[in-house]
Amino acid sequence: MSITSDILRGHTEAIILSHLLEQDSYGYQINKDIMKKTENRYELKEATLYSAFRRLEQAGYIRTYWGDETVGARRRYYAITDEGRDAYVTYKQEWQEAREMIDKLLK
Amino acid sequence: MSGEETKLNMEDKIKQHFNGLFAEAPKTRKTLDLKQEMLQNALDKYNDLITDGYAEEDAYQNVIHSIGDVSELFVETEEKNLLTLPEADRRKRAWLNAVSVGLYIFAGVVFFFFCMLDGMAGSRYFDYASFGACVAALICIPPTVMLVYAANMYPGYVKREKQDMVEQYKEQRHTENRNKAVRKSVSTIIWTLALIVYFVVSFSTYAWHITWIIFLIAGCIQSIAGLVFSLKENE
Repeated sequence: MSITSDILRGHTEAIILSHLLEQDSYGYQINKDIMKKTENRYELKEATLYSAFRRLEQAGYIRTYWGDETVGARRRYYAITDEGRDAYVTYKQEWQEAREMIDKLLK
Repeated sequence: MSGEETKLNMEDKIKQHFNGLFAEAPKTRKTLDLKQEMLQNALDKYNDLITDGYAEEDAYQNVIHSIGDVSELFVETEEKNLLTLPEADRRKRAWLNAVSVGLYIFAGVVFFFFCMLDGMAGSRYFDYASFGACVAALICIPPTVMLVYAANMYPGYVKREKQDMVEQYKEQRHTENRNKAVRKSVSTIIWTLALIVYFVVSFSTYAWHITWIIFLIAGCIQSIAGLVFSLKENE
């Protein structure tokens, strides 16, 4: 299990970008979505999520804006940029390559 | 009724937990926003868990457990501060300084050359020395611009020391005020001297058509003085 979560943690940025490709979102929503997609088997730690946000923002792959909720707390939304889309495409290709190689090596 | 009360207590507990986590964090707008955002996520999660039928204590433990190690979020901000002046920029700055010093020396040589020319082939119709001063002053412009640029290129470069923030702030304010006072008086001295020199030279030589150059030179000197100050401050 620890190897699984290590590998998953190594792809935090890509997982976030993938989620943002579908729609703009906020921190908790992204985490909930990850849990749903993995059938509650994986959940990001808040700190991991936010340090990934920071790195993505510094790289210019995402941008943030404040939502206009009229009820409840205001939320900061995250959206993917064009650079982020390009980075995601590259990332996915690389992952595919890596996966093929690992599959061959770990028969 | 009592359920509502414990819920509030648990939310307070979560808030307190966040206060503890962020106690060591630098008090910047960014970290405050971050804290607020993460706290909101935690509260949302807590309420969702309660809705899913979790016991309050279990939900609380779950929420706290899923926060993780927040210190990594602050480490990055500190690292960023330390890395604002990378090697390439440092080299660029050294180059700017070296080239501008070279140009200053060149300006001096040009002036000296024209003075000599004036002495050897002085004519009534052309004042070589003044012309030389003029050219030298023009040559001084680019290096001055370069030095000012180099000094202001990285205003945020401050060595972060683990010191009490308030003390640091006080100290900074103190030196800032002192530097400002010194700068002001130096610039007053330069311009007063320039004015005196202008009248003395003009009345003694009657070369009014050219003596205004003294003000250009004074401007030049002031830029250099300002530059020396900012370089010293950066150190």
